[in-house]
Amino acid sequence: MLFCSQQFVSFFLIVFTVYWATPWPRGRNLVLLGASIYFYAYWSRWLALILCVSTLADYWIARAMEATPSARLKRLLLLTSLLANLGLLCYFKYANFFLDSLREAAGALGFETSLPVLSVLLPVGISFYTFEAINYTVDVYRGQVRAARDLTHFMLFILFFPHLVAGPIVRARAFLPLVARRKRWSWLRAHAGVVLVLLGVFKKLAIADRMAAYVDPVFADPLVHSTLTLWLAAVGYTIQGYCDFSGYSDIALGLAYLLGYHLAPNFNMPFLSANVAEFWRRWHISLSSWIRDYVYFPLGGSRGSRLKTARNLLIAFTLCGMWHGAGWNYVVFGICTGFLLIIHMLFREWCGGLPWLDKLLRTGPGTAFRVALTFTAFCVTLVIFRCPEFSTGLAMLGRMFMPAEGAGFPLQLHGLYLTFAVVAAGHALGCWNWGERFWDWLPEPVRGLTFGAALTLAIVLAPGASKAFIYFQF
Amino acid sequence: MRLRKSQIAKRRVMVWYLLGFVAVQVGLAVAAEVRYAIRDPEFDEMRQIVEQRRAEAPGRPLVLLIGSSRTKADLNAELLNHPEDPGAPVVVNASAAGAGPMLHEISLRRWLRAGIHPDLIFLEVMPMILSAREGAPVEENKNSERYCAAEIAHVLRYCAEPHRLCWRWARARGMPCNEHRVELREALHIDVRADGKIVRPSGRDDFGWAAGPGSIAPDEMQRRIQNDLEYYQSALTQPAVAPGALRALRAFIHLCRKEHIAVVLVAPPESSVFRSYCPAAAASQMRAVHALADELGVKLLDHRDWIDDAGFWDGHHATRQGADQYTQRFAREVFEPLAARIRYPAGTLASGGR
Repeated sequence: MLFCSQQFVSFFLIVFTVYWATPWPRGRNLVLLGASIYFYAYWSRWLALILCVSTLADYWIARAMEATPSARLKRLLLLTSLLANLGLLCYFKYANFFLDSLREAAGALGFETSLPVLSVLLPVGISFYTFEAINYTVDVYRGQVRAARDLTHFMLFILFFPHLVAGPIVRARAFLPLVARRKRWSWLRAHAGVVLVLLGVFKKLAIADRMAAYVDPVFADPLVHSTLTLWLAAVGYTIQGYCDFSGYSDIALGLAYLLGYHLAPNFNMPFLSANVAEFWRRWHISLSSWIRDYVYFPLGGSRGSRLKTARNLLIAFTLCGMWHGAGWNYVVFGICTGFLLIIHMLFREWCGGLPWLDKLLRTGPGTAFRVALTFTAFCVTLVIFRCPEFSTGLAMLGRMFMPAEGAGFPLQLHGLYLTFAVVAAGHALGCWNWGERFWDWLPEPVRGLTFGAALTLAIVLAPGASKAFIYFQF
Repeated sequence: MRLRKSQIAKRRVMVWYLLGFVAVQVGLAVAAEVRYAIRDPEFDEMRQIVEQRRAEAPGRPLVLLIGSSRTKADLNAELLNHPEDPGAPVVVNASAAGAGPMLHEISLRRWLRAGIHPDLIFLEVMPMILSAREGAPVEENKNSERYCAAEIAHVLRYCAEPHRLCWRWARARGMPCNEHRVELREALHIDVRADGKIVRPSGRDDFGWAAGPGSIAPDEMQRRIQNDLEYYQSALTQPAVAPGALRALRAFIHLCRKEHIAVVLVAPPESSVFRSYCPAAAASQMRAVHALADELGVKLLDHRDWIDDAGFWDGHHATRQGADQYTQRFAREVFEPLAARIRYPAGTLASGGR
């Protein structure tokens, strides 16, 4: 059940009505929990059962961890929870990747192996809810969060359908108090929710899916296309990825608002970032902050030597790359990102000794140059990310940097440029908060018509068959 | 106090959002009512083709081949045109996918309203589409979005369960941005190919023919035949003919009479798998069509076995080769003898095709 499908609209309208019609807070939570389990079971009942069982296990482990005075038992329970969660993640997501890699490595060394290929159905959103479960048990172990007493509250934290399959990755310390709080209907919050849902639907249907019509044919066979086409496709895929995922996040946030919940934003206009470090503070914020808090900081963060910081960055971002999928392209994407961050760290230190350069880079043109460079670097790493075969990705990058003749896009380019312009205008309006001010300045009937026209345009531009959100696979 | 004010303001804005969305839908619904390009782009396309062909050869008699996707794929109308002969008629394949007698009658009314007066019509009469599948005409569950309000009011008389057609039509007009999504995209020229070529969505050529594939793998053909047999199973096994479908067919022929248009009924080709699926039901359906043709005094041509089984790609739509084979025989045995009678000046066949 995709957010942009008729089934989901019907599902949400029913849940929304029953939820607000239920007068008791506990009843409302039960409505949401039932709806969330139904939402997940719509894909697979079997996987929904596994998810419920693993959630129950985490609930009891956290309770036991909090109850026991023994530090050793506490550690053992934490280890059990981590092993169970990561074990499920590894089995469902990475088992075949490891087996394939082993088989290839053995083959390269001249050994014959007969390793099996597992027939595994990847549970939707497993990476998201596994990370949520881990942040809960780790925080309970650290004493930063109290173990949830109410099973419904805890299950809702993991299973809450707006964020269940593609994030944002919520933190127990932020979400559990929300579940316990009594919700009152607010037109202010409902309005914010509706606007976010519209924004998300527009980003997904009118921009991301439009971009796919241009980008997919080029990435399917990159080596026959010209250098200009490949660059435009790389930029197009970057915009597609952003609008697809941030569109999903906006819809998730909007739906949560409509149900009285406030989730933290997952994106903050990342294409305006002036360096790679800033980019990762603005892009998929819930994942990068999770990696920072549960991988990078425990490794020592930036407190040690320069070499240790570089090592920590590389480990954290290699894991971040792997989180996205079971493939070498994701691993290499993570490693490249890690190296970019290391280069940025070294450059920043070097700039510290050259105040004139630092000052120059902070001027308007200097900032524009840094923004463009950051965007280009991300586009280039996404080429590796998008190409399923690492060798194809490398060959495409080769063609991008060595001018080559070749085919163009199958569709006329005005649609592509128009979409680029819409995204640029959106960032410009968002940058100085002009968008919101302009929106509030418009007369109400004009706002209403604009809203209607934008929603209509998004529905009209939607592809024939619903396209799944890119981040569902992660 | 301030909070309460802003709550009220936001509620008002949300009402405006709703009204704005409704207003846009109403605007699109009105556009769909008045523009064929949104409501029935296939008819719009056919109209353009007919107008272009007539502009190229003004004053010549006009022959339309009207039917469903079968006729649309089976008859290569270009082969029936002889532009070098100044008296030869202009022939256009004006068939529409999913059409049956109800849409045919409405289309004829549209042609006449648009000032296009054919001299001869070959009208497909597919026994299967006349059958009373589940008690109602097969066509009753189709095409609702193609009709305007006045047309819906007209075709309701042929329906066994009018509320179903009304509901589908209301849904299409109520949410045109979703129901007419494909048509709106085409009208907005969103997906224009890089070479600038306009590819007709229905796959028609300049004479209205939508060529099927040149060849098809045997496995794929079997799969498609099974799919279509399953889809039409209830229609193929239903011996009774829907009274509404017959009434629509009768109304079509009466309108032709009134407008002095010659009409010939044609049972289109189908493979032996379809013919032999339920012979008793097929014979019963054909008997009803024969009885109607006799009653109205029009010619009925039974072409069901005019294409070899190898000439279909799914058992009932012709491949390119199948269409060429059928069109050549159709031209030789049916069209040319009739066309000789409607050479310029037009209208000599108007008293009836029998």
